[in-house]
Amino acid sequence: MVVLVVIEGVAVALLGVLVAGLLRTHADILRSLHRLEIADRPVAISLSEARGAEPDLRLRPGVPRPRGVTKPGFDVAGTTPTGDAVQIGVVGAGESTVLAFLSSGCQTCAEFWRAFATGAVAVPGGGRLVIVTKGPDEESPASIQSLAPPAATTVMSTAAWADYRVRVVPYFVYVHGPSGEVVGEGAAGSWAQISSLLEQALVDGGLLERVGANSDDRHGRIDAELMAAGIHPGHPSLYPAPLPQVPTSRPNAI
Amino acid sequence: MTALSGYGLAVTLPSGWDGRIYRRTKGLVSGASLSDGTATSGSAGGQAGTSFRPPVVLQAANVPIPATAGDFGGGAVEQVGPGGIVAVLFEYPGSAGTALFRSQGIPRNLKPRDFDRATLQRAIAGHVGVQRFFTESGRAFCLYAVLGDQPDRTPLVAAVNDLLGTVVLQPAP
Repeated sequence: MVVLVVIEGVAVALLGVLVAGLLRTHADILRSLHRLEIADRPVAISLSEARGAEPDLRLRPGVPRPRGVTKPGFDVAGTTPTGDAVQIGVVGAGESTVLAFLSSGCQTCAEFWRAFATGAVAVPGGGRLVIVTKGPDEESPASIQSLAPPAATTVMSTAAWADYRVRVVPYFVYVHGPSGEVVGEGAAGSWAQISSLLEQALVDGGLLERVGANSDDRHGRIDAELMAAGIHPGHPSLYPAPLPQVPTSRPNAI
Repeated sequence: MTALSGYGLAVTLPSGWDGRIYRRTKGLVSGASLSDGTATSGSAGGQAGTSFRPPVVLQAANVPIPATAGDFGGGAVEQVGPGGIVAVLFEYPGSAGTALFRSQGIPRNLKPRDFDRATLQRAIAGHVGVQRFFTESGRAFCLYAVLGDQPDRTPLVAAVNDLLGTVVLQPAP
């Protein structure tokens, strides 16, 4: 009897270990999927609706909901990675600003540091890009200095993170300069995604004309230039003869 | 309004303005030491082979100041249109009290007529500028300001004077 109880106890213990192992593996898989998801697709971006409608967004855990309607922007004051005092005029500025909140440690941020280091970054709507890290109290100036692209403005300012209520990195905020209001914000895994989503938000908000919206004008201009060059409808150059077939031969075996 | 300070300079910037205060290190010979605030250089305000303190630069503008902007606002002044303002204080260490810098105190009462196209370091259509050399707190500075001219430049000059009114110059640290 005692032997049976012992055997049963051992079996239960083994099953318990097995279940614990399965649960742990399941958790690992979920964590991996979560990481892949964050790296591969945008998690949130929105236009702060001037119309007042709350955007319908599904947010990943840990990603803050974009702030509501017509939130004010703030000037960004802090230090450069070399310790110099600097202020970036954001509110009331003649042009708009994209604030890129990055850190030296996050893996997704590395993608953006690399993208910004390749040269001039085209900001939708013609604004400028400003990289904002936390201040020297929470970030290593030497690390930021090694990452900061020479041509981009980088400000270390913990106060700016508090002003814009940034809780995750990377995070992007688009401030419309003349009005001083945040018109879009969110996160994504690459600059191409951010750029595309910001452009979409600006178009939706009437702050940017959709690319290709003037296609009729462009077609008309192309027609005019062709006609000025003597190329009218039906011109032979518009209908080139097909290229002669080139006989193909198998390479000689060596 | 944000107060910037560094290297014995301070300024309060209006909202929407860019500004920075930095110590010029470009042009220093390799191996120069800045740890004690002095360096050996063949340029940037010192004579070849002499010991000097790197110049301090204050820039303020109501247009974006690129990270790569020159000391006198090159890179920013090109963006100045009507109503635009770029103001620079550039220090000339070791020159305090010399003939060029004999004027005492930072100018804070500029007049519209003080601004002229001929004063521009780089002539750009529609721009007018002013340069003043002075000594304050034992430090020699050049004030250089550029305006994107408009029919009535009075409010622009007033904005420059307001800005200069907030500048605090202390003895070199």
